[in-house]
Amino acid sequence: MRRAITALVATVVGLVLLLSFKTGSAKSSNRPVALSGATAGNDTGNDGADDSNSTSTPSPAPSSTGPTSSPNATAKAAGTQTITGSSVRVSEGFRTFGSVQVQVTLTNGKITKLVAVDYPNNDPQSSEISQYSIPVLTQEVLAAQGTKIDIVSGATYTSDAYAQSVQAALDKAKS
Amino acid sequence: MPPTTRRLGHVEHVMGTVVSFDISADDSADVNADQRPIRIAIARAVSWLHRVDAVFSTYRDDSQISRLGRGEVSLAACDPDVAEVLDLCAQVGRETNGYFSSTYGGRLDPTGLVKGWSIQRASELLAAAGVARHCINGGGDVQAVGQPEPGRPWNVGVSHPLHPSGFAAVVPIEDGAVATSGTAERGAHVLDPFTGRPATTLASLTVVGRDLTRADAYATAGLAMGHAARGWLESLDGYEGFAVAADGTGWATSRFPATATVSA
Repeated sequence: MRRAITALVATVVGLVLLLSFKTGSAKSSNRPVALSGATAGNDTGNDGADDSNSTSTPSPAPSSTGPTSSPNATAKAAGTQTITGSSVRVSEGFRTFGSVQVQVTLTNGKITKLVAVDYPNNDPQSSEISQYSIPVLTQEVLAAQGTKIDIVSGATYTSDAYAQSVQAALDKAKS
Repeated sequence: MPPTTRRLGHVEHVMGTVVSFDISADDSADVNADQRPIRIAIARAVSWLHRVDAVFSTYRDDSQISRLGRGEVSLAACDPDVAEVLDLCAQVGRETNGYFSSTYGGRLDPTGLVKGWSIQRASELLAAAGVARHCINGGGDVQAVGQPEPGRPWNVGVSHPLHPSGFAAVVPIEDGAVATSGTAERGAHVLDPFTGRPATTLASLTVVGRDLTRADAYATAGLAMGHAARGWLESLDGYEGFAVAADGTGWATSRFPATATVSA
């Protein structure tokens, strides 16, 4: 059970990789940032006895905030759980912005909500980092999570803009 | 052996945008060799959308809505759909505390509601014709029915307004609607009716709900509200919202059903 949660948090850390941060310099804003320690989540193959060397080990125990059992799902992760991961250092190139901490809500084992509960704001050189950006999810990352995009909702495109859209690519894939 | 699921598509340029049809059907039961019943249903829905365009387009001087706006024709002489749409506009105007308006620049212009309403109607036409599993995307506004494959919902990618090739969230829906208003494609075209100025605080606002008529109009009205849309959407039953602000930050209402998102 604990290992399953660790694996999920590792997925979440993978997502957080995509977080881009507003920085003091306009040039570097909205650039993806690298997350040091992100690979530490790959400990699902370990026997789980020692999670202490993993920087993405969930620190507090999962807290249950909803129904904890359901008649059809007797096994793990039924109901709603909220898990807070430990802080992970965030850096871009050689700059270190600080740490980020993610809280994930699981409903019947699936991620239903992801909230950054801490974000980089403690680096005096990047004091303008006070809010994080909405991450960019690419089709590749979503596919890796097992999510296939069927349709795209976005600001209304013109006929011309459609040709360049992701929706157009999805339409081409169908008969 | 379980039937294989086949996906049929159709793309129609209409109403100044592109409408994509995505039909899911079991090879064995729903689709015969030439897919005729489904193709006929799509053709009827497409014909409906072109009729809506002819009646409601504000880009056509001879449309009923243009002539009504110039006072050349009475409401009673118009297609009954015109009265229905104007009545819906009045309802949505009240529901949005006046942020939804059926005029634009002083002209009668219910465009902010017509697209969602017409796509929802097109979806109802497909369902009535027995096309039980389908999804229609009207230039970014989505109405979905059923499931694309047994056991999973339609996954609607919410386009990231600042990174158009990527997504800001993924919304899984069966029988529901997802509408997004934003400045990414057509610029700051939504006006705050109280100031008359373009709404620029939010880069996009996505509204999820049961029916696309209101989801679309609410997304437009909420974009005009800016960050105040968050509290307003929280106060509604059955509609949730997700916003990406022009500075790249964002928020979601407490029950927004995204599978992958970050909220403040």
